[in-house]
Amino acid sequence: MEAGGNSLPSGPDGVKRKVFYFYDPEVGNYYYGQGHPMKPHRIRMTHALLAHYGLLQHMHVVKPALARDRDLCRFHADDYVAFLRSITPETQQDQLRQLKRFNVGEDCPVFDGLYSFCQTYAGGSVGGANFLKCTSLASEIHFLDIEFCTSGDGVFYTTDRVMTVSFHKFGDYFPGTGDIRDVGYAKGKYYSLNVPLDDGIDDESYQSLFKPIMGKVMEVFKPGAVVLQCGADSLSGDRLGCFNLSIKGHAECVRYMRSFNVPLLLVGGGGYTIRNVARCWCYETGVALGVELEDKMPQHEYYEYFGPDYTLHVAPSNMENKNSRQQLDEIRAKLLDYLSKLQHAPSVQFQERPPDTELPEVDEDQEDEDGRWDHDSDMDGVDDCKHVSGRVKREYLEPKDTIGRHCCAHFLTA
Amino acid sequence: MELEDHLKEYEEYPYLDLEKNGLGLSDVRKSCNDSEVGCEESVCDPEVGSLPEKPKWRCYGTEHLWKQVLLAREAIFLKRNASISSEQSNSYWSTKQKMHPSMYDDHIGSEKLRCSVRLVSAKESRTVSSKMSNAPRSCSESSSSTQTDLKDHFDKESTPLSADSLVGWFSDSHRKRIPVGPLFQARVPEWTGETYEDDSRWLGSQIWPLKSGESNKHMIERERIGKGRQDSCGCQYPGSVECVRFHTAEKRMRVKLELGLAFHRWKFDKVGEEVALSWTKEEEKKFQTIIKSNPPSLNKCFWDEMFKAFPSKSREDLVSYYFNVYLLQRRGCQNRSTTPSSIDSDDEESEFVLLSNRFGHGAATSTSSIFRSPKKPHLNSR
Repeated sequence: MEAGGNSLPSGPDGVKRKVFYFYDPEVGNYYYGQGHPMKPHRIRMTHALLAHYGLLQHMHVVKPALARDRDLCRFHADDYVAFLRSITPETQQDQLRQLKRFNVGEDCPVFDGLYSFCQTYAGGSVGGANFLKCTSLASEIHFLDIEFCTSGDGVFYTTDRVMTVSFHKFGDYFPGTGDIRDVGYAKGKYYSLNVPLDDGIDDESYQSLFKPIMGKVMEVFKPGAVVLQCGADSLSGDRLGCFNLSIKGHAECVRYMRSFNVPLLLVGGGGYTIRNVARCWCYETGVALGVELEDKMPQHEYYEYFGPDYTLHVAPSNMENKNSRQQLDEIRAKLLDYLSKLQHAPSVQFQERPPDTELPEVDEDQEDEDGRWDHDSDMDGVDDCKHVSGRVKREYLEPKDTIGRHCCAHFLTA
Repeated sequence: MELEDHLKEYEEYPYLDLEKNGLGLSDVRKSCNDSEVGCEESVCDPEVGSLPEKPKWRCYGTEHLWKQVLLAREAIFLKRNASISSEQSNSYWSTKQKMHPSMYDDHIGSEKLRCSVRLVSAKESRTVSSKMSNAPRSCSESSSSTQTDLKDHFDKESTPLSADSLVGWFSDSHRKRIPVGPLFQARVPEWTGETYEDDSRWLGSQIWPLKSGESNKHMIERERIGKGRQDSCGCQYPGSVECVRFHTAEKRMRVKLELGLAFHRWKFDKVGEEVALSWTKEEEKKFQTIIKSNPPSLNKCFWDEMFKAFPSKSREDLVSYYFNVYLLQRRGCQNRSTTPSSIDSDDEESEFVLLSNRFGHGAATSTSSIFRSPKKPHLNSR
């Protein structure tokens, strides 16, 4: 497989990495309501698969701290947080104005335990981000935020400190943003990239864009850390998505980004055919660990969800790929052209990691669906987005367990 | 050309507050005169006129150019948000929640609303816009205003969109702009390297590896990482429900021994069919009956009846049983069923989905709601 275009000395791509994983065992039982496609139960299914494939046993697994009110209020408007804390399914009829104001109540429904659910996965995200910061050696971190299936909401549209690349279905489709011409604004110009895709994109077409574009992004932007949102709604057969990626094709993106040896935060995102979500995120955790998983799935508590073949991988469908070679070539050319306008990474240089440094890695598994569903994101009142800093506790450094020279901070918030 | 330029700028940044920034025209004129700002796409038309107070807007007719511009902006705005509006009114969930009439009030300016919308047909907006392009301009003095931050909203270095024309913009229905402004972007402050208080709490509590003393992982044999299931087994009916149950229990015991205390901390003891152990046979039967008598195809929600029927069981218990036992067993039946194809499994609406598969068209027409996915002809996949 193609090697990543990084400049750091590293072992082969399959080198085992130490991985930290964040998981809250309560998360699987939150329920959005009958018929709602977002099912936190998918996280629990993933966790069971990880245990039975023996992956959990090879990771540091952490239960994240719950985000408190004041933690949420660092990023969201006070009244929004107060609203989330107070709203219940029983009282929502009295709060119609607020519901509309915050776009809650329909696609983002009010369900039992909504607020503690938000605290749970926000805690994971912040914990993961905190760890990412600790493990990056860059004295300034520039984040690369890659999304899979839904176009970004422009939260970092005006800054050059965060580069956002979004691969998504574009056209007559929610949310309507994410045109290729949307490249950022003011200081953030050319620090946003939108890759508009049509129905049915397959593994080969997708990689023909992902690798050249991300390769150049890494080269030009030189981020100190990367956040990769691994929304599984780009998989074939997703209940809502309309792409045609296989799990291996999806995971190839993870593999590629991992090869750059930059602290990597993997978060979840969309994914509405839950058996495929569990398959995908289990497999990608294996990729993070540098381990291949056998296709014949082990018998376990959720085995029947994966019938009748009970395999880890499923073949993509024969749906039409509406992305022509010519369209893809044009998209690639245009985006590479935008990237060429970024001469050099802003301010501080990215530093190579000295070979003897052993760093712990972090991984989390929680609900953090894509911006579409995320109660934790709010387009109306985004406030600070401060970097958190700090030192990693000594007890998490276990040199004797380190099996790779280069570590990545790896979070999987699902 | 000035009117088109102005509308183009509005297309780019529709969230400029009208009350706060007015039409921005007089200030643009000011900045043009100051030669500080490139005027590539700024409107430099001193003739459009100044803006009266908002409550008086309705009193003026369309002979005033500023009124024409306002109407055109509204048309663009409403047209763009018509899709959002139809999402809100046509969403799958709208049957549950009635819209209060006050929701349709206009809230421009004061509240932090994501959007305030009314449905306007595209035809209507085009009619308005075509009137705009033909309207004569009136000459009038304009007084300077004090909009000092309007300059910030102009993208000084943007390349002009190619092949743009008034007609082109209105037909460019796909391009919904990313909103720009303090309400829409995160503030990314300067890097100070300072420590966030309590940062150690964000490391969470470690569940695995177990603390020394709790752990036996070095003492017992562990499965090879990534190992799948055996190719064959010695069960009388391989692949049967009983065969699966047996091997699941076998594997589960092994994992339990490997994980030790972590097995319970991760609540693996409350996963899978084990959950049914705390249910009586009657309770299980009642659960199934309630679901069958409230099928999704009749737009019914079984949970209402479910909560009433099991007053002694918590919501968590019921949801847990649903995912860990009920759906699992249903999948078990589907997996061994002789009828072909359409297993869309973990869906409460499996009945609904089966219907749409049979008739060969998608579940819903496409709107902006993510629930209304575009046609999914390939629903029949694993």
